[in-house]
Amino acid sequence: MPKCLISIKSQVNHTHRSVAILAEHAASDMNLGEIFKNLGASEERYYLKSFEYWVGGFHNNERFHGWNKSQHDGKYTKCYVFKNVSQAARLYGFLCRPKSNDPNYEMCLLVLYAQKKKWKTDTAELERAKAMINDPDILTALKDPKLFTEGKGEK
Amino acid sequence: MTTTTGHWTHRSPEDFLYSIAADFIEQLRAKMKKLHMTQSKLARSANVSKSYVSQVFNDPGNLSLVTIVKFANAVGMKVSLVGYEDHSPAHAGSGPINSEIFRLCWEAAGKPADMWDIQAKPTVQTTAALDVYLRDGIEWGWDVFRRTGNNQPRNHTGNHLTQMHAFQVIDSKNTESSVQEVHQ
Repeated sequence: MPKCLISIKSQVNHTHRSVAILAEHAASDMNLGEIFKNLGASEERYYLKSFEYWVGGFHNNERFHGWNKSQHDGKYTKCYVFKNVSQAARLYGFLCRPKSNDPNYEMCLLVLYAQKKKWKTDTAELERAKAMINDPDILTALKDPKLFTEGKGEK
Repeated sequence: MTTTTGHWTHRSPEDFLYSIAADFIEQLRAKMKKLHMTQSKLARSANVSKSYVSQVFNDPGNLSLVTIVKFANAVGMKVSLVGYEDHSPAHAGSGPINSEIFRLCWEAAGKPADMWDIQAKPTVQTTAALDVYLRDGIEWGWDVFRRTGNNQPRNHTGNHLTQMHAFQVIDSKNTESSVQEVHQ
């Protein structure tokens, strides 16, 4: 079992963006692989459609957004969330640029699934997502060449 | 450019249907937002129950063509069913083109209504519409058109300058003047 497994959920043949999940992580309870396996058909489709919108460059604040410099003192500008309002669920993650030969290529790596407990943003969840940005295992898995050939990068 | 798996909409007709219905619902949602229309009002206007509206907004996979027409009428939209071929290798792992892309391209082409309109200076009209976009600094629209119209890779900045609804504002007078400028 890998220490860390990142799995691309959106289509990797898109030239500009992709959405990936932290499917396994040895040092964390974050295991979106299991969460995705257990999603109902409708909820899974909802997220896949949202990923598609984001990867395709569409704007849809009802489904996903980040936080700008003026929010939370600019602490979460790399964090990102995919929302499922009807299920009161959120997928938190962060934006990164994992292709050294293509600095414009952007990935949203989702690391945390949470049930929305209150209307306002739960900064505790954002902090958890933010803490994974510099996780060494994740950074290594993001550099795994198989991430972009097989859709899975691991350490 | 690599592919790991087929697109999720290729798994089943239900997945495909969900995808295209969700695109319509997003267009509908955007229009309702513009009109400040609630789901209850939509239900009344379309003569369906509020719970049904809520249900299809949450899970559009069960949306029927009749309901789509009712919803479109209720918000003053028209709706078309578009069939197309797409053999582009770049789209091999992709799902159906989002209906919003078709709408944007149709508007960028000067909203042709029939084959006569298509034959009447299509290139100039398209260039003129793009000119309007660019002049207004709407980078994203240009980006979408280039990718969908000419199938060229873009230099992605990661920054989007505008919301999609900005593209709904195409002034036909501006478009006309741009056509003239192109001729000059």
